Amino acid sequence: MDRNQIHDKLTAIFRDVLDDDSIVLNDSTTADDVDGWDSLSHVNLLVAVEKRFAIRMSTREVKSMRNVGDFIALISQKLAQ
Amino acid sequence: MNFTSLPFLLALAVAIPITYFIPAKFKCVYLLALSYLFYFTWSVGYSLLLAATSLTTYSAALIISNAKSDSVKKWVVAGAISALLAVLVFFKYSEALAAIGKALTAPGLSSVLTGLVIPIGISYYLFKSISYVLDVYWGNLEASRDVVAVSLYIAFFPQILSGPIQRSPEFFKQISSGNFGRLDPPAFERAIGLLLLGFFEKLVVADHIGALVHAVDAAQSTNAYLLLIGVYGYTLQLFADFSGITHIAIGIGLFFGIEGPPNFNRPFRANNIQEYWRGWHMSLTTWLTDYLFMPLRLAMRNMGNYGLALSIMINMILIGIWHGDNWTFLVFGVIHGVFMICSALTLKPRNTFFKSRPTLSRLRKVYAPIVTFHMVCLALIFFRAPTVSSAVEVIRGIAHHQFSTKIPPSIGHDVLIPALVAAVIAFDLGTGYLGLNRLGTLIAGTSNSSNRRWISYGTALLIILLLASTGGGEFIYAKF
Repeated sequence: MDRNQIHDKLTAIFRDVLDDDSIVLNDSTTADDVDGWDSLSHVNLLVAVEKRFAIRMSTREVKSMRNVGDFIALISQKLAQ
Repeated sequence: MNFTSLPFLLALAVAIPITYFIPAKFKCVYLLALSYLFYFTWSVGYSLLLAATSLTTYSAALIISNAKSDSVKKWVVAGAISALLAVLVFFKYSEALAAIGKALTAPGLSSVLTGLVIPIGISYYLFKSISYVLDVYWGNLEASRDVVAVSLYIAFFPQILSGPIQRSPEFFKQISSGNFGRLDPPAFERAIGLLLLGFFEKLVVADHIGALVHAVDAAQSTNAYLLLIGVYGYTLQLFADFSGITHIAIGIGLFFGIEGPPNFNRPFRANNIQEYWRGWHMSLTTWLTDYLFMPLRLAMRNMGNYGLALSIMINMILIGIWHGDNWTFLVFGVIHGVFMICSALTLKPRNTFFKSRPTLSRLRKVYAPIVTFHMVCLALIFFRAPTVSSAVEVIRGIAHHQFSTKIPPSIGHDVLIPALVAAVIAFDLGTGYLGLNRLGTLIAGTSNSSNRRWISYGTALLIILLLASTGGGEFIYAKF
């Protein structure tokens, strides 16, 4: 799966979990830029991402993500393993 | 030395101008020396604990940063965090541990722990240490090689008594900027405004309400009106007192070029308990969200709502017992845990329900903050009470509806009237409803005109000098 495909799939997950079809993600997007992306919904997003990409992320990996770009890079790295 | 004591203010008046003449490379050393001097006024012996904590934190972060193997990083982070937490538990819960020692017939442990004084600021500086080590471990920050900078981060005197708990990336960014510690007139002026606002909140608002709360307690009446005055009064006093010390701390830090994070954002206009915690003691709640709640929630992420509820409950109980080892703090935490779990699990359906009912929705906007405020007051009854049973007595007293308009002679008008005016101001500082909050922004100086700003600072100073309560005590949060 290439970067663009991961980006599209991730956007769909965000829209679904946060119940907002207007969400547009780019690499520099952070939680401050998206309504409803708080500490509670963040975990719901991670659970959905892990399920739909069939990957598993550690606490350290999750905590080191700073923006959507880091999120995509981590998913891509996990898929390559 | 307390922030409101005259010797402290005089020392500050000398220390601030000197900082602008110290060469850039010695600024951190100067601030570290000031911080330890300040700490010596509380305890010379415990400053060794502060230094040892700083060195442990500094070394652990460097080892984690330099280690090639992930398992070494893991062991060091686990060792460092355990050691820091052990120090916190040892001092903060010494009485509870002494009781356990007694129960286990270990007189040695019990005698060591009995009567141990809690080192001032220990919760605040250990939380800073823990977050620094974890940030380095999580790769959010490079470990600093500068032992003075790390020690200063942990011991920085304006933040050591009651926070705010600043994060290391924010702190290091400020001390490594080219302008660090240089005289910056707008920042200097802002610092004066914050200091005045803090003193106003503490001496004019919190202490006058405190005098009434104290008088009500002393009257030991079962009159429900008086009990309610005690409950509402303490909630407003705690807010003004804590917001006051935070503004003073941020103001003092700003004089030296370091701005701390905010701690309050109109907590009493919160529509639900989650919103309340987003605006109350924010530097602690965001700390706990990042370093406790999120790791817990992630570890239990596949347990659905049970995982969510459990993470919230552990988090809130720890917020409670962070204040001390009295059972009342545990009950306070459990009450907030139950409130938070119910609120988090029902918020979405509640929002959906009100979305299609505009009239009810308008009504909700009015009653939601009132309900939330009362939930906060209820939990604070336990927070303030010396024992759980005395808190239950207060609730029982209110529930029995023994209302009487007779006020005991010990609560005179000289106490009652200033307290009521102060309570209105505190309520407004916590909500912004009455528009009086302009008072706060006026004191903190937001006008475009420089003259007008200085007139408001002068007026604020005059108000503080004329109206300050003389019977005020220590800051409530300094003991936590």
